[in-house]
Amino acid sequence: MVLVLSVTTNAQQVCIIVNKNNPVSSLSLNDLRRIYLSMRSNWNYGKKIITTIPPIGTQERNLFIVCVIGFKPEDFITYFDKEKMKGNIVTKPISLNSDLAIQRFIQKNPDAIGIINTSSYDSTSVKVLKINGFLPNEEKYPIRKR
Amino acid sequence: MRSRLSSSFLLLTLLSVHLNGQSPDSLNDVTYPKETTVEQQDTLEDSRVVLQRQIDELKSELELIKANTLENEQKKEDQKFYIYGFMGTQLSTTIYDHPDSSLVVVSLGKTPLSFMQTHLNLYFQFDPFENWNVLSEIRFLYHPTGEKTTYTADQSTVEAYTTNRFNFNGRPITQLLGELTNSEWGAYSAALPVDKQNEVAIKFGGFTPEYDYNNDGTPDLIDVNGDGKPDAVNFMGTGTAVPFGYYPLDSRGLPTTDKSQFVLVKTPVVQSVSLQEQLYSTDFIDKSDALHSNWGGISIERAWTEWAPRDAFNVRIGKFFTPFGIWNVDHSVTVLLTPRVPYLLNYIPRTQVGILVHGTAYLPVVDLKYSLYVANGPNIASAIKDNMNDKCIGGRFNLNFQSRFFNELSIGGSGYYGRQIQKLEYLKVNYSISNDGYSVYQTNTSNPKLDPFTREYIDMKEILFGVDMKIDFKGLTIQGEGLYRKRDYKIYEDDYIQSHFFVNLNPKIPEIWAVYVQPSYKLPFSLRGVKFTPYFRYEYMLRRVESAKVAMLPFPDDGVLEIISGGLNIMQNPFIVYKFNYTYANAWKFPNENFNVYTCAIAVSF
Repeated sequence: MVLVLSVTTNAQQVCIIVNKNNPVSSLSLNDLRRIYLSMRSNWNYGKKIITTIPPIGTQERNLFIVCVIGFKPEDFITYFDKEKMKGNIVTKPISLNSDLAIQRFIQKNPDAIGIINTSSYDSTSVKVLKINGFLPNEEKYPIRKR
Repeated sequence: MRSRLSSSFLLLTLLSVHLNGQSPDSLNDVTYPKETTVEQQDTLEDSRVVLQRQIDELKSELELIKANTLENEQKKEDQKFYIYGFMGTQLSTTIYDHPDSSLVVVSLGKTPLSFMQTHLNLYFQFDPFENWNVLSEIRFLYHPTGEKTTYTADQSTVEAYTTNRFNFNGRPITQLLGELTNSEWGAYSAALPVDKQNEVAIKFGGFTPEYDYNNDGTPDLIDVNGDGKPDAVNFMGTGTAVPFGYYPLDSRGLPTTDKSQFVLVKTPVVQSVSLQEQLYSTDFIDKSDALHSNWGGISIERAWTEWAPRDAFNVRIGKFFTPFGIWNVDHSVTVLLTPRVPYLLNYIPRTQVGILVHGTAYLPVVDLKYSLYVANGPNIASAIKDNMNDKCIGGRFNLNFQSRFFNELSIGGSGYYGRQIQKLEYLKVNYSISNDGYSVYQTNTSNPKLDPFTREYIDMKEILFGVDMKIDFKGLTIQGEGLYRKRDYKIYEDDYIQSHFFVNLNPKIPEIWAVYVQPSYKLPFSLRGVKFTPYFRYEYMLRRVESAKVAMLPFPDDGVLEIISGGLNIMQNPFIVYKFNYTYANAWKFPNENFNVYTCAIAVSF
């Protein structure tokens, strides 16, 4: 029990996961930013990207927004409201409540992408993407608390 | 949330143990026995395995419950139809730096402290299939059914409905309230075209169209008082009366005093409103005035269908905001920082009806966005139909640098080319005026001779270039736009008009340069979530004027307009925003003609 709590409340590093059948294996940090800001909406193979994200207030979400998007966490929601009012068709990431739920969702949806705590990664259900050419266990992996 | 779920998990575990006949005490006994034999240890291990399995099962059940909940949330996300919108309310006043008798006050009117319901906009978004989007936005104008007014004509009371009018670029004109105005050309509708010698009034510009709904080749009877004869309307207090819509023309098709031939104005393609470019620097206050129309007071801000198969290629068809610069596309009172829009927006065609192709190419550190369109043009009549085959073209390119160090860093350029022709369609018919001058009669009712013809009297080509930039870095945002407009005018019979009319208040403006810079800073702290953003804006415009005929009034030729604004934007949350603004303006070399506009506003989105 203690182990579970410690994992869910300390996000030193998050990994980006996709469905195992997704041909994409690597993304740049900028592409990841575009995808989560709904600027880029399609995978290279043409399918619409479905973005998922941990719920508001979690450290995984905040770490991702700060490291990748460059926003303050509270500005992330405001961004979508503003874009919607401008008449831009944007899709908010789907907020899923746990790493397990995100992995299950991605398992079911081949075009989905998600963010989970690296310690929760289950290699049997999803696969981790390289970001800027680095995997989460590598020193230069960019989405981590420093 | 996670802590709460974990607590639930613990509770479920304990409950499960209890339901299986093992109290928490017995669990303690199992977990921490004082002395154990090998058999007991085996039993203990077996119990642990059982408990672990139970824990795993409960954990799975818990995740299943969460997953089901999330699936419901996912279903919400799969929703295909959305309605949302915004509204705004203002309290505003204008104080002039000059006496009430000055030209500006007289012409613009005094503007007392006023509350105004400035916006009520509704969006309807529909995503029917993957890669297809439909969006429409309507704006309810100040009086949803137009403002009802009455006037008396020939001892009969007539009800008319007026609604918001639009400026030359299709932007809804808003209540004056001290805003700077400018009429560029056209609309020779001053109270002057009266030939007293022949006692016939000529109303050139501002025609009231008459229609032939009966389809009998003659105009429908204007018979408000029901006496079976065309009615006469006293025109502008001159004592001369003719029914609106009946005007004598000479051989060139221009208004004349020859009584032998009257013409019927046949559904002018462009009414007087489109001849007159009145520029108001607000985009938020409605005025029920001027254009007599019965539209129900609803403006379609945009309505388009989009096919978006690729990020790099999207096709949009319908009515859309002209992709020119930053501010013309940005929208919603909760999104915009200030309650007043930059003045240069008045020179940008607000919307287009046509086809837009747009997309984004993703380069390593920058997004290259493009928009290209073909459309009717900015004239409001163009939203209904165009009056020529020439189409306007335009485009915008934008480089948006991707960096997590900047919220936004972009530069852009826009261009537009369009041609407009203002013309009226006439239908000559054989009419005579009665001796008393109060009635018009058709002279040959059995075989009316119809002679339709069209007069084009203004032909204008317009080119616009714009540049823009925006930097958003750690709360500091600097946004700016610049614009150059060149117009090539051709006004038919300009000399005739000038020689026959008393004064032309509408000079041509062939060139305009305009720019604004707006720095703002979102303060790094918040009070109970409320965020404060002070801002400043400097606007500068330079225009070159060709006054066709200027008399009496000290209207300037070339001129400079400077506007300085400052204020505070207070965001209680993304849905409720308060704005406090002060604007100072000095216009076009008018001596001592300065404006001070004070505005507070609340904006709500929903």
